Amino acid sequence: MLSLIPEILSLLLDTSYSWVRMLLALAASIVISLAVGIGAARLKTFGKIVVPIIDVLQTLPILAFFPFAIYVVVFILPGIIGINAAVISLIITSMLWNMIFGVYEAIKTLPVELVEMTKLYGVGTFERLKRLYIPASLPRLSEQLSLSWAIGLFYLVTSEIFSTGNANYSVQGIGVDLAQLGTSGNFLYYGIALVIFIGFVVITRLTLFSAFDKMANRYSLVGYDTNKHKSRFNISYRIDHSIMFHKLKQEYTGIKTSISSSVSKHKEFLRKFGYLIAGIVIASVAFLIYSNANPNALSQLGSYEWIAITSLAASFLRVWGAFLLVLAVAIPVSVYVVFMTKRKNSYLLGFQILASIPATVLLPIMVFELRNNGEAVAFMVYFLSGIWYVIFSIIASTKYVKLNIDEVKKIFRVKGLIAWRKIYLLAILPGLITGAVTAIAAEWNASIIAEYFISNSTGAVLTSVGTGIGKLLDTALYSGNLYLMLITLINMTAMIIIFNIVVWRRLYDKVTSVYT
Amino acid sequence: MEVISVANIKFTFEDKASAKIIDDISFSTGEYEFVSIIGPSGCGKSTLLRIIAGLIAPTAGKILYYGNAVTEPIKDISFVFQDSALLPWLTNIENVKIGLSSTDLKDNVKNKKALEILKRFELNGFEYAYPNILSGGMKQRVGVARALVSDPKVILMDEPFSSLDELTARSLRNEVLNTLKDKSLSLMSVIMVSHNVEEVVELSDKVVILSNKPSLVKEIKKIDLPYPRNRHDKDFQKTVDEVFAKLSP
Repeated sequence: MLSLIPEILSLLLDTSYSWVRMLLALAASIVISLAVGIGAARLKTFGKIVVPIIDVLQTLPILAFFPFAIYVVVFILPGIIGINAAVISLIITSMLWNMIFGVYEAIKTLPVELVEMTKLYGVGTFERLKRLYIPASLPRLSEQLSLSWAIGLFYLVTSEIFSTGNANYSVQGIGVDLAQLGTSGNFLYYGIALVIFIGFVVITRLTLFSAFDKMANRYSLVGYDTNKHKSRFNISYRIDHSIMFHKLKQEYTGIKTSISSSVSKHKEFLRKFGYLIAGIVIASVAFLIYSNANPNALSQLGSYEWIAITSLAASFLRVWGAFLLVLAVAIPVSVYVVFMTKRKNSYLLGFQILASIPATVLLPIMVFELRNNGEAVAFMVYFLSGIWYVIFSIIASTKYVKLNIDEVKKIFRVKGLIAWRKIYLLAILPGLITGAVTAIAAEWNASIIAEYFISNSTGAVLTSVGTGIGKLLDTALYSGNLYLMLITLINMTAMIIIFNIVVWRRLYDKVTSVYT
Repeated sequence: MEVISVANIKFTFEDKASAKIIDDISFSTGEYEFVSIIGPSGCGKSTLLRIIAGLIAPTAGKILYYGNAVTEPIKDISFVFQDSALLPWLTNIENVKIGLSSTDLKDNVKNKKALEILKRFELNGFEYAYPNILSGGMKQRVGVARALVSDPKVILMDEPFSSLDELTARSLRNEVLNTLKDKSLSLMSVIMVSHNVEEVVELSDKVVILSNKPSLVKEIKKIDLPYPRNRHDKDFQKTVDEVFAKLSP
């Protein structure tokens, strides 16, 4: 037992290093999200440009940013500082997007009287930021922190140890330890590392996030008469206050705006056009960077199209197969927590802690337990990547209607199948759709880990599916085939955007037209 | 005969020992009697109504319905919520049918009853629409229709007219009052929470006036003015003044 102490101390030190990176990334994300979120909400032109771009960026698999980030950051800051800065910036890119949308929504739904009051009393820009916009953003930002932290941890393992083409980088941290211990089959130390990791997760949740929650809730505008016609039963109010709300929330704002506008169709067209432009701009910039003015770049890209499409189709089946299992588990669990138990807060805390244990740190166990079955590993990673989004989204979206629903259900003694059919399933529908969009996006983001994983120490392929977009992207990254990586990304992003517009938006339109 | 008896009800929030909300409240309602509960904001009127409904358990005391203890919601006691509490995902007819959930009626009978009551409340044409296209007054009509569709003996109303315009509120008040006073129908008693003194005097046979926290019964005032009551009548104004005087600290 005593012989384990040096190793435990070393793991504790490494975890502390990782946590310093995570906390620095979180602090930077808070500052950036406040600046961009408030800017996008208050400055019309800035918002019109930034919101669609962020919307597209957050659908891209985060690992795709690695070569760009490393190249830029290490070029500016050489040596170990540069590598650490690269790792931190990678974590930031995983944490940032939902926080920006949280701030953006908080400012967009700010009671107009408060803004008018600051104008009437001649409050200056800096004071307005300090006294109004930043405090008003904090509750929404606090709601997003747990999610961002969980996403950051998901990518911690892969961001601390990575290869791009010919170059390998790694830093001292628990992410490296977990990956190396797990893939080398050292399960005693892997288990200890996992316990330490989970211990840090729990302590962070119970101390840092609880304190931030408490502080942020002082600025809560719930109860303030933000809209005289909104009741707790109003779905619009519910959606405005839901936790998991990245892109769909922003889309919903678009929907609300377009409903109230006489030129709604025109605006809708502009929004879609904005997405298209943002997608083309990002793809073009990436293409220009990688083509290095190579005249054959376009034909080279085209030659990979067929393999990208077939890989995408295979991954599509996996992602949606796992999502069906997510629904089968998440719906009864959420309904139980929301409608059937009085210990909702305890469950919620438990879920937040569980959700903070990323699938990536469990990957070595999965690989070991499901050896030679890459499909099963991929399915599990997809499942774990998506399930919490659905559960948290449902719980958050029913937060403000629960009391009324409970009383109606009890007074009219609605029970059994009728309660499921007429109350539970329909009450969770908006949250379910919001959660589904984010869960599917998260599954796509995880494809690069789910479908292909190699041991960094031995270089051996530990898990691999037959064919899939994640595997394709991975092999492109490891082999440094940037054309293949780019065409893979373009296909995946196009599919996600088209699916959002054609399926999710229509479904959401239909639901909001009834629930609003 | 007493329909509802509120006997020595006390209520304290479990997690806050010092937060005594209701302290020893007793009153009763007779047959075909309209009883209003009035008191300062935050004095626990809505909590008391939920205790009567069986939604909340009192810390002490009991609620009796024709002599039987009410410990959970029962079929004969229905409820009208302040904000109508319609389920936004159900059509208006489906919302009304929620009021028949615990009955053994076949679906076509439930449909028939729901259509009849919606027609009675002048909501024909909106049966298969969703609540989001209705005005506040229409939503509250659906809420009242849902409360009455199961032919309850008692309805409890939590500030049911507070968010409606005066014309809509007046018409809905008359509808409820006529339903109660029509002895061919099942309704035996109405208990309403309100903060509108004129409304209370217009509708009630009896007014339970509560003090501030912890709530005590300041006075139970009987109102013998004949129905329909005229708000400009001298006796009506006098009664309003008396209730106001009792409400003042």
